[in-house]
Amino acid sequence: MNDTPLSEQTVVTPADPAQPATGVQPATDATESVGSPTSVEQEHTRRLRRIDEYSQVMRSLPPASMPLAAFLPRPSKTYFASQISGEVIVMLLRKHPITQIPWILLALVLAVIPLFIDPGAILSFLPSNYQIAITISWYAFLLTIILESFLSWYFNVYIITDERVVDVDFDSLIYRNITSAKLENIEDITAEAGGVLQTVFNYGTVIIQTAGAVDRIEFEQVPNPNLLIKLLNELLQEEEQEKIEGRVN
Amino acid sequence: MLATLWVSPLFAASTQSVTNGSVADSNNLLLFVFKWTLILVGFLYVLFAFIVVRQIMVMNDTLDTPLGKLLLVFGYVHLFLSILYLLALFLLL
Repeated sequence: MNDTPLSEQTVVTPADPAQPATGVQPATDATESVGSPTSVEQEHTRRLRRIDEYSQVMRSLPPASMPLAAFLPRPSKTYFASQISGEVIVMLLRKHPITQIPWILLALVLAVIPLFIDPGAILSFLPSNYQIAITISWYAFLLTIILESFLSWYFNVYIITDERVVDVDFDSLIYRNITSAKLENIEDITAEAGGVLQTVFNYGTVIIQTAGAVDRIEFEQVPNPNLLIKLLNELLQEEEQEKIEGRVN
Repeated sequence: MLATLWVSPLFAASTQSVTNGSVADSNNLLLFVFKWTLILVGFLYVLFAFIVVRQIMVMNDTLDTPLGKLLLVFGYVHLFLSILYLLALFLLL
């Protein structure tokens, strides 16, 4: 158990009494605040321990530096819609890049087809200007596939904070679904990884059973599923410890 | 190849019409339909590009990331290219 005095647990810039409180932007690190934290938030921050203090997993992982990665510990300059002030994003996950190979290969094949097969030979029954228009349309269609597939992969994320787990789903370009569950409502965590690819590239599905309205949240095809289970267990233990010690928010 | 097999007989059949006038008319009709189908596709593509820009904005509101602004720029570039594509169709066809 950590007996570090409260005054040594966090580093928070005190609010300047001369400045009116304008609200606090969500912070990505429990030790930093942007703007002028209120006294309640300062108290909240003082009560909580830094993630590194109780999580061996997070101590072993350097902060994410590559924004296009699928496994992002402590991502910087990243916030999500329902993030509450003081809530720290511990991990941001996407599907493993290997799962995007099918559409990447499809795009490459579609891109090189007009180079190997003369459109003029196939479309000889059309005037040349129509052939050019169809070729341009072909690449417009290809760009559509690439853009939609990339956006779908980039913005469909799974977030672990020090308070909850969040699943952000954009099923299509026009349908959005955000599901979250508090850590204290998590009842069971399971990792599934089957098949050659998942074993070789170390990715799988983490299934989180919860006691809330949503009984199940799945982190599909994410990297390092076993490490995530360990991290979630550490977070759950810390939640229990906070309750015991009266350090709850 | 398959496109050639199933489309070209339509043109071949049209060339076997009795009079020269009807041959030209049926060719022109097919090209007319083809042209305006492509232009309709162009309009739908511009509409799609606009929806993509709008959706990137929604996605950025939902999840604010370091690449969010860059993706929005890409979205606007894509919208611009889609308008160019539509103009190209009008010019070519």
